This record gives sequence, structure tokens and C-alpha cells, in this order.
Amino acid sequence: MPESKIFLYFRIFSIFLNIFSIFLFFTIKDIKKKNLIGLLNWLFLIFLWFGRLFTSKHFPFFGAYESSLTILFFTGIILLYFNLKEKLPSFYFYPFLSLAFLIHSVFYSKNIWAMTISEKSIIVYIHLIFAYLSFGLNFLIFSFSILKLNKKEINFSIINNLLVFYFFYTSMLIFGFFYRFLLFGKVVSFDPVETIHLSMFLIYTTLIHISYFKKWNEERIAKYQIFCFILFLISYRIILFFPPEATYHIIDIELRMHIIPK
Amino acid sequence: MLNRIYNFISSFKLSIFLTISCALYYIFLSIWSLKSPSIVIQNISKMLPFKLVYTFLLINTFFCLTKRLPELLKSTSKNLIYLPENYDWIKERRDGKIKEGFKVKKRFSSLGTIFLHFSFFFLALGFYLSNQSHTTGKFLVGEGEELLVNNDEIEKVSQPKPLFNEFPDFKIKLNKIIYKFWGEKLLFRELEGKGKIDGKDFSIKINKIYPLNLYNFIRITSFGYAPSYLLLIENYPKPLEEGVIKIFLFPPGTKSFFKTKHFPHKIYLSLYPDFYEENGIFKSKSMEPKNPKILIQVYRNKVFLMEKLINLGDLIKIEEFSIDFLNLFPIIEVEIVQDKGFLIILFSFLLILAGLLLRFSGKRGEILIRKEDGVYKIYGKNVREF
Repeated sequence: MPESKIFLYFRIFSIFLNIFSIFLFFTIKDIKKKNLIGLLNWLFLIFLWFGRLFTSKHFPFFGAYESSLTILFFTGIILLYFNLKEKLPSFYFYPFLSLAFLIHSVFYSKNIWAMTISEKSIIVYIHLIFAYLSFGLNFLIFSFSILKLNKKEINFSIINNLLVFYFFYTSMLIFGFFYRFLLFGKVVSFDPVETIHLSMFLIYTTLIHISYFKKWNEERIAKYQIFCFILFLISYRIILFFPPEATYHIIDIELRMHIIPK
Repeated sequence: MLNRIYNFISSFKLSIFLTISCALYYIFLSIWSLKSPSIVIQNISKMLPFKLVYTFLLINTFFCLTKRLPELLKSTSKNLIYLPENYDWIKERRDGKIKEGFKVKKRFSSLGTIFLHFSFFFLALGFYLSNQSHTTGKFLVGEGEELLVNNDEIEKVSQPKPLFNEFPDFKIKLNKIIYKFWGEKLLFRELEGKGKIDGKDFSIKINKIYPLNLYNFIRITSFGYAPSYLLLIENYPKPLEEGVIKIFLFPPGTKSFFKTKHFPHKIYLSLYPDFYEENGIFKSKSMEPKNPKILIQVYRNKVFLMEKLINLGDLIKIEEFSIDFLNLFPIIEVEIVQDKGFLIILFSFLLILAGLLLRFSGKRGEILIRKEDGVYKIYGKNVREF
């Protein structure tokens, strides 16, 4: 089913809004105002996410476009939590992320597909929510790492939040492996999505260990975190460049049949 | 010499080297997946260098943990460890209501480190047992059918592994197959088998397993329609043969064959559940058996005899016998998996989560309040506020 025109126009509007937000980012000096612009950006994206939720009648994670929207939506939730609870300017860098994701998803189909039996499971949803929350938290740590490197005073511990991220990310992997057994009868298959995320898991394991044992200061962790986040960002989208037969992860690729004809 | 070896094996530098090696190894596998099918990647992952990296990582983890274990266990003590000498802040109060004493926070956080690192040994054991026992088989069962399944009747899909025990015998009664397609597409929105196994209710799906015991599990792997038939001969009042042919006639157009018990004929069948014809080509509008037609091709040994498109209930005369396809029954293919490591892997996953939950709350914190020269002094370690 093709995407309805109202959402198409709203998406184009959101892209222009993002470009305008980034323009403001470079013209405004006050970080609180930058944060407010990012927050407004997210509030507009919520409409797009809910619109997709109601029209597709499923949790939008299917295909490159839906997963982009959901990543942006959940990242916003994490940022909102830190904005309200910790009074931190967590949204200041958000327009860059949303513009990158919105533009990237333009190149992929927006058609609505039904959820098939392989995706309908509470375990899949838990796996996905942990994946999106870990992305959101990692983006937040990345944003504040940039601030820390720019010598901005900010009450945010990179290492403590990396531990929370590590818990979310490990939970995502565990639920994924568990579901793989339910669906295919084996826990690991060395599918590229698995191997990419296992490598990310080990990269963060190394970063956390070094930070603790070598007693790295926050600035030093921040430098490495920026590098790790770029790898992390790639790991979330690189699957789109793999041939469909290379992976059973259909979340980011075109819909395929699950029961292969004999 | 032994000391040097021990220091090397339990060194932090070796841990970092090994985790980075493992990360690079997974990146290498990911890049390789761009060009090669998953079976090649799985074979590469079983090669000796990778097994060596895992083994070294486990040995390193073991020795690192052994080295740090006394300190980690000490951190779970309910008494003070760091204070009063090793404090990171101190406050003074003259308020007489303050009680002297001490408080320990996040006492068990270091247990998280122990759980997390110990879980890798269970994980390794689980994967070893899984690799040595993982064997799959399959069998077909139709709606309403009651079957006594034993090891010999299960078709082995993979070669039995060294630790494989025979599949258990069990009695299965499949009461209902619930299936629902997405419009006209070959996509299932629902597929579930319900019934009884050895008298107990069960339900299986493509993503829902039913445990037969601690290491044998079943689930659905495929769906199809199976035709029932009658085989008749002239001047004989009763059918010579009757039954359901357990072959998959799904998805539409799939060709399958069967042989009768009494004649050497081979009959090929292709099902069109919701038949229509377009430019002389047979097609199916949907997956539902709304207007089913079967294309049959009959061979005697290698001699082609006939091809005909029939409706269910049509009596077809083939040389000395006639055959009548009466009905279509939904059937499912059930996969049985034997995996002796799965539950251990699951346990290690739980241990990892428990470990991380305990750990990410932060380090052990201590507060000590004592009266010194008429003033209450509050010492704090790893605790932000009092």
C-alpha cells in the first residue's frame, strides 16, 4: 500500500524544518535555545511517527523509512527524559540526526506492508525497543561528548551513562539471540547483523574496561566515544547495503517471504 | 617463570588485545557476508584461529577474575571497607539529632561483575553442548490427525552430532491449524497448530516452540494442503485404496507426486487453490482453497499417459483404475530440534542481565558518621550526597 499524500507532504515539511533548525543552530549561540529548537523538531516528528503507526496498523519498524522514524522517536524520548529530569540541553544536536535519517530514508520504499508471523512476537518488540533506546542513549552520550570536548561545563557522567547504554545494548542482543532460537532453532548464525553488533558490543566492552582500569578522564572517554558512535551509527544502517539473501533481518530491507516454497 | 606466565595470562593488556581481536574478527565476518552466503560465513566462524581467540579470551577472563575475586568479594561486606581513611568528602554538623554509625550503599554491585564474567563460562559450555548435539528432524501432520511419532519416523534434516540422543517418542494429536494470509500474497498473518501431545495441550507457531523435554523442542516450519483420494477398480464394490497423501501442494503451482500402493503409476499434482486462467496460463487468485483445481500428470514408469486439469470430486480413469481426489486438508511440517546447550545458554543470558543490572547502579558507597570533639563528622566515599 503506498504512503498517503498527507504524510508525504508532512515529511517534506519536516526535512525543510530540519534544514532551518540546522541553520538556526549555527546562528544562535545560546545552548538552551538550541535545545528548544531540537525539542520542537522532535515534536513535529512525533506526528509523522504516530501517522505511520495509525496508517500501517503496526509498530513502525518495517523497512528503512519506518525504522528511521522509530529511531528518531525513541531517541527523542531518551533526550526528553534527560531534558526534564536532569535539566540538561539534551536536544541541542538532535536536528542533525533527524535530518540525516530523514534524508537517508528518502531513498527507500515507503510502502506499507503487513506484519507477518515472524515479526509478531513480544520478544521482537522488546528486542527492538532495547535497540532503539540504546541508540537514543548512545546519541545522547555522543552529543555531550562533543560538549565536553568543547570545554562546556555539563553535569553528565559519560562513563555512568555508557554503563546504562551497555545494559540496554546487551539486552537487545540477548533478546535477539533468544528469538533467533525460537524462529530458527539455533541461537547464533553469524548473520551480518549479528556479527556487526557483536563487534560493536566488543568495542564498547573494550572502551568501558579501559576507561575503568586506566582511570581515563571524561574528556579522553569523550574522544573515543565520538569515534565509537560513528561506528555505531554505521552499524545501524549498514544492513541496507547487504544483499537481501545475506540476512534474515527484514527490519531494514524489503519484505521477503518467510516460508520459502519447497 | 610461572609467575610471569600467570601475570601475562591474567593481564589487562591481553584482555584488551583479545576483545579487539574478536571485534575485528566479527567485522571481517560482516564484510565477508557481502559476497558469500551464510553457510560460508558459518564455516569460517568454526575455523581454528577463531576458536583459539575464544579459548584465550576465556582463559584470560578466568585468571583476571581469580585475581580480582578476593577484592570483589570483600566489596560485598556489610562493614566499612574504605572509611574512615579513604574518604572523598567530609562534612561537619553540630545538630544533635544525627545518629552515629555507618551506611553502605550498592553493597552487591561488585557481585554484578562476578555474575557477568562467570556467565561467559556457562555461555561457552552452552555453545559447546549446542554444537555437539544440535540435530534437527521433521515430520508432517495434518489437521485432525493423531500420530505416534518415534525416532525412526522423523526425517533427519541434519547429520546427528556426537552428543545426539534419539528423538523421544511421543503421541501428537493436531486438533486445529489456524492459518490466515495477507490478502492475495504468500504471507502468513497467522499460522498456529493446536492440539495435544501425550495428553497435554500444546500450541506451536513458526516462532513459538513447545518443549518435549529439557533439550528437544518442536515448532512449525511449513504449511501446505494435502489431498485425500479414493482409488477404485471396475467390478469391485469397495475402494482399493483410500487416504490422505502427505505431500505439500503449496504454494500454488508447486508440483509434487505420489505413487499408488497397488499400481506402478506415478501421479504428479499441482494445486491452484483459487483457480483462474490467463492467456492459457493457470494461476491462483489467492492462497485460500476457494475454487481449487488440480493439474494432474500421470506416468507409468517413464511413459507419459495423460495430463488433465480436474476439480475435487472428479473421477479420473487411468488405464485399469480410477482415482478421485475428494478433499484438501491443511497440513504442517513440524521441526524437532535437539539442543542440549540451549537452556545453559539461556541461563547464562539471565546471569549476564542480572550482572549488568547489579553493576550499572554504580560503585559501592559508604557513609560514616561519628562524633569528634563534640562535632558530628560525616565521611563519604563514592556517594554523591548525604
